[in-house]
Amino acid sequence: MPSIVFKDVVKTFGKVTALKGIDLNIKEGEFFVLVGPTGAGKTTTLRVVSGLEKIDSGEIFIGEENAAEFSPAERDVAFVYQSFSLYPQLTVRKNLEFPLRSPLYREKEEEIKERVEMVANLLHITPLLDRMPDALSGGEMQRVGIGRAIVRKPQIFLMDEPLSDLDAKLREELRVELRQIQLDLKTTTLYVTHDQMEAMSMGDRVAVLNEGVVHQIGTPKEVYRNPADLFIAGFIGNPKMNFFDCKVAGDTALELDGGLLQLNLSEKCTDRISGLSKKEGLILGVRPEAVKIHGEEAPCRFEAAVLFLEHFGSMNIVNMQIGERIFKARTRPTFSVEPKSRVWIELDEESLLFFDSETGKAL
Amino acid sequence: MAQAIRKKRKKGIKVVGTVVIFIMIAVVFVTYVFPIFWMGVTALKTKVQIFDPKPTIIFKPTINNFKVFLGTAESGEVGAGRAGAATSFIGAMGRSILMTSCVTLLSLILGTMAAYILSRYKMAAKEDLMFVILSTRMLPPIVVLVPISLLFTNLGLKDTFLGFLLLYTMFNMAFSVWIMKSFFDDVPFSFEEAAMCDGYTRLRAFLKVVLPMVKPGLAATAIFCSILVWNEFLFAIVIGTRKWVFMPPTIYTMSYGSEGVIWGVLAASSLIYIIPVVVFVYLVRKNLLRGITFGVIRG
Amino acid sequence: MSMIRLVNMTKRFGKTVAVKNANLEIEKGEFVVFLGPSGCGKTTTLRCIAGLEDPEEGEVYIDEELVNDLPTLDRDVGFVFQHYALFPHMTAYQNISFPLRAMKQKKSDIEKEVMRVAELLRIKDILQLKPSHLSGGDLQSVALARALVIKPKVFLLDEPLSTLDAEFREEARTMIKKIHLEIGSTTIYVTHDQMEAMAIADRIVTMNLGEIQQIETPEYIYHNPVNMFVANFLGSPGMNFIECSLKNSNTLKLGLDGKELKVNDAIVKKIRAVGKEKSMVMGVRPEDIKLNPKKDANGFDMEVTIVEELGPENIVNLRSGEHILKVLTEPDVLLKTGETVWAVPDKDRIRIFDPQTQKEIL
Repeated sequence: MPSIVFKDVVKTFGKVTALKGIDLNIKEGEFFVLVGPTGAGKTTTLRVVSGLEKIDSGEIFIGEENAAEFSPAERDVAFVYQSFSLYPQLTVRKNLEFPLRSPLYREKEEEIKERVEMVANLLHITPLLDRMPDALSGGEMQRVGIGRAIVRKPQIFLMDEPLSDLDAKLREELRVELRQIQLDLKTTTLYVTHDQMEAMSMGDRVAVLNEGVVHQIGTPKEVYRNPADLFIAGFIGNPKMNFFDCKVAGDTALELDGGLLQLNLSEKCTDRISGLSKKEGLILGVRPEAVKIHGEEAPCRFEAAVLFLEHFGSMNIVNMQIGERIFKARTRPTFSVEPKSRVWIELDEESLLFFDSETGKAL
Repeated sequence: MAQAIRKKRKKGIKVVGTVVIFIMIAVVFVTYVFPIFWMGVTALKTKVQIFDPKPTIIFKPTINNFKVFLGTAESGEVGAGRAGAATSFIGAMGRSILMTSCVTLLSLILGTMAAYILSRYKMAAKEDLMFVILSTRMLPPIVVLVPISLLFTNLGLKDTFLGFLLLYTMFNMAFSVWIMKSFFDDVPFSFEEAAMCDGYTRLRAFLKVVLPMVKPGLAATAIFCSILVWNEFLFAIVIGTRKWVFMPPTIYTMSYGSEGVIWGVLAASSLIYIIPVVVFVYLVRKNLLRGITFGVIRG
Repeated sequence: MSMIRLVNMTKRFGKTVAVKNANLEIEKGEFVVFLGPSGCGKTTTLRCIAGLEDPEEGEVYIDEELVNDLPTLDRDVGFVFQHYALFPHMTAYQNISFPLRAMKQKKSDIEKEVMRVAELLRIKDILQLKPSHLSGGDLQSVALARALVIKPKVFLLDEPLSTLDAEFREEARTMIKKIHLEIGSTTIYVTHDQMEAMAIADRIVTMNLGEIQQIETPEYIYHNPVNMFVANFLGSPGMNFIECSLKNSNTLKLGLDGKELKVNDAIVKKIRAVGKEKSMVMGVRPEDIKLNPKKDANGFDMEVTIVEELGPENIVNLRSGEHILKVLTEPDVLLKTGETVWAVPDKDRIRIFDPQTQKEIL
């Protein structure tokens, strides 16, 4: 299974530059996720790896070879699409056999039959083999689509938001199944999605893409705990990170939202605050799970008003307000507090993140 | 707010609506089917019965008019020179069938290939090109009758198989290309891409993957093209002077004699002429279902 | 006095029964969510209320008035379609004013109303643009505005967020909830995403295969699911189910290759009362299971297959033979694929279900 390397890849479509100099280093057998909003260039990245689009400058290496010399068929990649591309006039079985009957493969009949059955087993679609695509549900169709990609045992999987059209429940199930299959087959996989939860759940490493530029590459944990800029911090994580405008007002004091709130931190933070290169024009980011709610006042706490609670079963989200700013805290499901009551908020100091409000970069 | 402007409708209106629609459909149906029915009735009548001032549906039928095809008709009924004109009818029928099949096939092949390219590839001024193709059908054919007639004479194409083949195919290209292109546009390109990644060449992907999905388009185009050629009268009569005489002119000449119009022969030969087309459309009807790609692609 | 009432409503499409015997009552001003998987009948039910479909049996009442024979435009409902259904050749303003123009309102009144909703949805500055120039979020706002401009009694939304990117859904649903609070409309919202439903619903109507399963507040449904479908559908991930039988007065024998689990007396009592000792299903939520790397007498051993690190929490996927179990843990729990770990369910949170009726044994 090869690695995939992008060196300063640029791709334009007429006047629009979809990829503005992308560098990627995808390891052998890695499940690599490209995440970002619609239009970021994720699908374009997949297509240039497959060879269906040619790049304008830069280089792409698949394994040791420069991919430019190979046609899509020769690159041995398999696509899984968002909108199911099953051939409607063929049964499921024939759909799965189709890749194996291409001029490049020419497998023997028994081999074809065996492979198809193995794949059907893996994806739990054996009872569907003799049905036509229009008799399948969305989830079943997508499984067949994945099966069609696997049956060839390609060296690279390219998946373009394959779960986006499915029900939320089905997505939860299939993302684990898909990941398990990839782990078993050890195929190098490039997976594209706009859903950050999928990215976090499935990726060995994640690349956050926006407007044709890679913002950060790292493991899900790294990208979650240490986002490189404001965009990533706001994009990854559900519910979103809370942001406050911030100014340094002392060794351990921060003025938030133009003086609306004075945040006093403990001694441990002195180094951190003095290390901030700027004193003004900062943005403080803190995730909902790092916001702790208490009933009494204490030195490092500030006061806020509760707006309402959202119950999600396994957790609660408390929406609170200070001045115009609404922010959220994540609590245990048993936590209860009345709307309009006043509470004391403590922020987990180790999870505080600072960003430069002009450049957006993390400090 | 809508309360102020609300009017209550009664269930009765629904029933009346259904009845009205039913009546409208019945009217349309009768308008289209009755002439054919009347033609059939006329074909079975003798000359005397046809000219009866009282139109009758119940009468003693005769198949004499149909016998014109076999050359065994009673000449008194069908007029001089027609009783033994079997070869005229049978020959013309054969030529019509041959020409229609060849033109339909050629139009399908050329039109489909052109439509596929126009659908898949980027090119400058594509809309203009499509318009030019469509414009060939914007003028009534009679406008180009004289020029083409002269052109064909000069090129030696008059009254030849090749001449008619080229002429009718050209007439059909606009339909062929426009219909097929719209069907190809409905097939997402990802189907061919997936096949190409699997190792299929563009051509094989087209033949094995895309073509089966546009069967309704092929069926519709085939029907359009064949009906156009089958019914074509003007150029057939002007350009097909001696050897290549098709059925429409034949029906005309055979039904018009010194005594005026021989209605019986006209009716019988027209009725027979309808049959092959009806059979063709009937055979092809299953492929006209446009459900074939819908429901599978939901994006 | 209810705002919307369905009585024994059934809707068929040919031989398929899309909605079977639906009975529900929605109060004025309530925000109700129809929740269920694709094909469960939630959209069909919504459309029957709107008048876009006619039920074969049963009655639909809006504001205590029988509306079965009333066409949509007379039912005073605002409908937001999944794919917006905006007229592409009209500007946003014209799209929004369309229902008012159809009712032949005065131009000055129309302008006033359009501006009112545009202000509410914050789309004043895009009113002159056509749909092709608008972003997904703006399109949705315009579709909402069009439904709201007639001040409908009932506001119906068919999966309004499904076409938006995941990152905009949170904002959009908060906006919809906010609008609901401001104008106090009775709202029905259709979705397959249980998280959305939990976040915004006053009450949730869960549906499956055309039948209504349970109608309750989100909290109640989560903690008191009426059957296995509801128990599994709500929750991310949903409830885990393990087949089991009663071994003795304090132990269950699990369908996980015969592993055993110690349980409370309360549970044993329940099981014995119904006489289902031989075949039951044990249900326990992922957040109610603790993991112990060392052998634990109160749990059973399983193998770790995949750990999903979602950020604020982890989902640990466990396997024993063909059976899968999902557990929610804190993010700093470090487990590797292939490790053996002991799953210890919270004894007070175990539920028992009857596999035939699918209902909980209480």
